[in-house]
Amino acid sequence: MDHKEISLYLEHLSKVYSELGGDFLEVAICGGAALNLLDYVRRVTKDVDVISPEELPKKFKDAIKITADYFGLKQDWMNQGPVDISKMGLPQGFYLRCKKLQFHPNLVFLITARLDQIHFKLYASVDRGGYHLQDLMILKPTDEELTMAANWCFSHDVSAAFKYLMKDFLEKNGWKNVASRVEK
Amino acid sequence: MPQELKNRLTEMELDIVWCHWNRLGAMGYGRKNQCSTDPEALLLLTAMVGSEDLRLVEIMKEWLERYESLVSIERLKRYIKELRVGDVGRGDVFCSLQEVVSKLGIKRWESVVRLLKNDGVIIFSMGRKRDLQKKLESHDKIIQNNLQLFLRLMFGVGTRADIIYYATIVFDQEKNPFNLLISAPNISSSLHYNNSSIHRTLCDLEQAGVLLEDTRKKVGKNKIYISKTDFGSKMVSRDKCYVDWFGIVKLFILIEQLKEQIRDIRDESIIKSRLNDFLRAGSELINRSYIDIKNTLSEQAFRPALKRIGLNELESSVVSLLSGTHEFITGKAWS
Repeated sequence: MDHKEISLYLEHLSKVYSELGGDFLEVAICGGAALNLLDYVRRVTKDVDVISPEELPKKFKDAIKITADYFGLKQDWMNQGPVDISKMGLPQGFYLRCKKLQFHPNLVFLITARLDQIHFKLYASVDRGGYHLQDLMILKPTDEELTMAANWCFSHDVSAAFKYLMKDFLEKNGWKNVASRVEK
Repeated sequence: MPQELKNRLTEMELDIVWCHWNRLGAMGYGRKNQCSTDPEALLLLTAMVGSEDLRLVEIMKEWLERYESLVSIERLKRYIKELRVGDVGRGDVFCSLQEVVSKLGIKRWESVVRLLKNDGVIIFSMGRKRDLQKKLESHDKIIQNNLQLFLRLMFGVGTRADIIYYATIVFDQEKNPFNLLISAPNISSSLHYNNSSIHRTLCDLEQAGVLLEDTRKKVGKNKIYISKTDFGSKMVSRDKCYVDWFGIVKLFILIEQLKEQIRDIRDESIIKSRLNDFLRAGSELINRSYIDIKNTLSEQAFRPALKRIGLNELESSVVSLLSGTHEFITGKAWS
């Protein structure tokens, strides 16, 4: 799905959620869909990642399913794949930085801001690489931002092995000075 | 929910219930059930739609006054318990049955009343009151037309009568698209009795020579039986095939849930999604009831992108699921 389609599905989802009588809800979106909505990338994404809240209300899940049925999408087109990240704590000031997207009064989509995307993409790049690294490059992080992101990643994975992988990743991808900073 | 669709569904539910009562002796309108009978399931079905046609409740009342002893309390309770587990939805769905059996004042029904009892208000008098002029046929005619009742009179209510009934139908069935066998697992899942009772009764019937082991077939450790055809001249089944009516009870519950889910909903995508879910679950229930309308249903469920499907088309699919069921049960689909 591209930018236009994501917006269309989110708008429809909001309408359905509202018709079902859902209570006021804020849903934070990250990943490729968020990057698309903020116009950082133009690549198509196969799903919309929800990072918070941890527990989605039944009516919202119902609205996801109805939207999937209506447009012929996968039933998990909107999923909580990355929700584990939020369990360990989101970067400080995450919600304040989010861009708000609202189609109906009782549902607000919080689009993860660039700095927080750098945090998540760095974590995913070290872990899995692939398109996450591409996304990270597109975001053009500064050394300062990457240092912040790396320190946040260490709070999620405290193992020595992860620290080694992070340093190795930063060095190999042209961020040697960041690697030396986080080493300390 | 579009009122027209709601009315159509209710009409068809009533037709299905009437056709079964007509078979069990009611002098009602419409066609007769040509497949197997199931008084316990029929009581539940009547309770569910009785408020839409109070004549059905009157028929149920009169029939129970005459034949309550031919109802399997054990089987009825199993049905009710299973439905409770699977979330019936409205608590008062069986209230008319509770009221009718309470008035019977017969001790063996007390456990059913207790099971049906809930804290909800009994809303019995809502719905259309229609004049009731004629009710039940003569006892002889009813027994003559209903092998299951005849067997229950002869062998007592329970597994013995119902296994012989099932075996007689399945053995004589012209077509057998669901590959129903006279075996313990098939009988257990179709008759909804306790497994050990089924096993014990099958052994007794084998020893009595009513059922013979089919030595050519065996599924795992389970024996397959054939019915001894010369066992009594009255043991001729007129039933075209065996239908698991409990699946139809579940279908009616699904219809009630559908009505509830799309009541007051204006958004087309919600209505379409609910209808599609109903088609998916309903087709599965029809299949599990051994109702062979696969051709009618094959293109109805699992549709992609409901945006491209007209609401009318989905509504007609829902209606044809029920009309197909009615036509199958009444034998119209067989001719």
